[in-house]
Amino acid sequence: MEPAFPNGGAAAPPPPMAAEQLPPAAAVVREQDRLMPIANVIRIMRRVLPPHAKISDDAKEVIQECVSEFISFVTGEANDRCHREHRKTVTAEDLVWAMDRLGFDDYVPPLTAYLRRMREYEGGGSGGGGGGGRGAAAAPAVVPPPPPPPPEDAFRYVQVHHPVYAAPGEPVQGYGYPVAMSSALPAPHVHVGVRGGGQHEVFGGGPAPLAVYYGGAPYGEASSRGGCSAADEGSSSSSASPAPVGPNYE
Amino acid sequence: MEPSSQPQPAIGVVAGGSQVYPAYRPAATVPTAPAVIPAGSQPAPSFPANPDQLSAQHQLVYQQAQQFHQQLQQQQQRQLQQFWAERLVDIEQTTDFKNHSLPLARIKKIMKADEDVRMISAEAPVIFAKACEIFILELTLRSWMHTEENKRRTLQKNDIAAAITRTDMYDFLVDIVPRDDLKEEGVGLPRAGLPPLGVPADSYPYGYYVPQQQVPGAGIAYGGQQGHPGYLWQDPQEQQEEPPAEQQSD
Repeated sequence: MEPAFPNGGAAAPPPPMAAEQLPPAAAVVREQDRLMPIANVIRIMRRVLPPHAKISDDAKEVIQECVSEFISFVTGEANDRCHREHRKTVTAEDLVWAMDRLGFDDYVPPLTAYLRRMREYEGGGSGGGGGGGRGAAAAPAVVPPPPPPPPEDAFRYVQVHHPVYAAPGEPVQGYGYPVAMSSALPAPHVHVGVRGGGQHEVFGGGPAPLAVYYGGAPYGEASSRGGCSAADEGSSSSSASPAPVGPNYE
Repeated sequence: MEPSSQPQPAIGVVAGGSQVYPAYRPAATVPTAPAVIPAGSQPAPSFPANPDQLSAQHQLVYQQAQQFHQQLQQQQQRQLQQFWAERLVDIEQTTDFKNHSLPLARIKKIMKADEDVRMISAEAPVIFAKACEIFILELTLRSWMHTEENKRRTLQKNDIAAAITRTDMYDFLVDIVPRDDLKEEGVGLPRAGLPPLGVPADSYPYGYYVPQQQVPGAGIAYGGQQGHPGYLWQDPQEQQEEPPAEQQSD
């Protein structure tokens, strides 16, 4: 999508809005000023995490570094634009434009809306009619409609996994979701699994078709990693030879 | 680190696997040669066994891994869509433009760390405060997806590394995360194949059954990764990272 703000710098550059220039001394950035406060960062992180989630200390530090890098990255791009247009003040529009250009296009609609509401809140004092016009032009882009529903098989599988994400605090209950189990059963390759599971008491009275099916081939690969496993593999091969199973499923 | 499976469950899995293995054979008389996979090796070694059988086996394992991966991606895409819808609603409902989640003075100092930046409008740090908030939320959400894929509840540094490698717009952050964390992300990938093995086991105690399948699950993903490394592993493209502004204008 195109940037929400028109590139009007060449035609009519916007008037500087309460521009500030920091004294040269402030240019020296101390170590503690290089990062966002960790308490603020953690508070924001927790808003998107489930209540039981924990954050390791090194993860907190990495996010701090990432935020500073994000600010420098976007500021550099916005400043380049200012120089090309012979302007000295980096504006909010320059930042939003830079984010769009750097791949953060999802940020443009919410930030545009935020900028518009902020100016409405200020009463549109700065710029008067011009400011109002710019606000109208900066209407947020419509959120794209959701994609078409996935294929039937995919939908069944998604249904299988939904309980896990819906109730992260209760993983056991999520896995015990009966609908998930029933929706997984119709898969065509289950037959091979059923036969496999039925002949081994280790899996108890109830077969676990998908688990057996998935577990067979990869374990053959995994077993090659150790001598003990290799011995088990030999045993399996021996027991399999008398009664070969039906045709291969593609 | 993969948890060590108990001897008895391992035997059960091997026995179960023997019933599935014959399904891959084109003829019953063809002998089965186990594929040798070095434990924990990153590069995909060539298999010395029967090419036809391994090709079919590989293809099937890959298809299953791919199918699950697509469903997982769809699930995560829906989470992200909901995330962005919430961001827009959150901003439309904003009434407080005085207090910000991040200190504006600190943002300004980071912006001014670039010697090339001269003047900053008063609105720029305000927009950045909101942008950084969204940035932290999205990066945390994408990192948490990786945490969930690995069945953990603690967000770690390698989860952030995984999110960075999986998302193109985060290429500028590659240098912030050490290389070993990027490599570790590769270890996390095989576990993406784990959930489909666990779901059919809803009739068994979660804690008892799932550990048995962790090694086979890893095998599935390893097979898929070795067969089609370009599909599962997304190399970060540092070339896309734009260097900070070095040019000066009078």
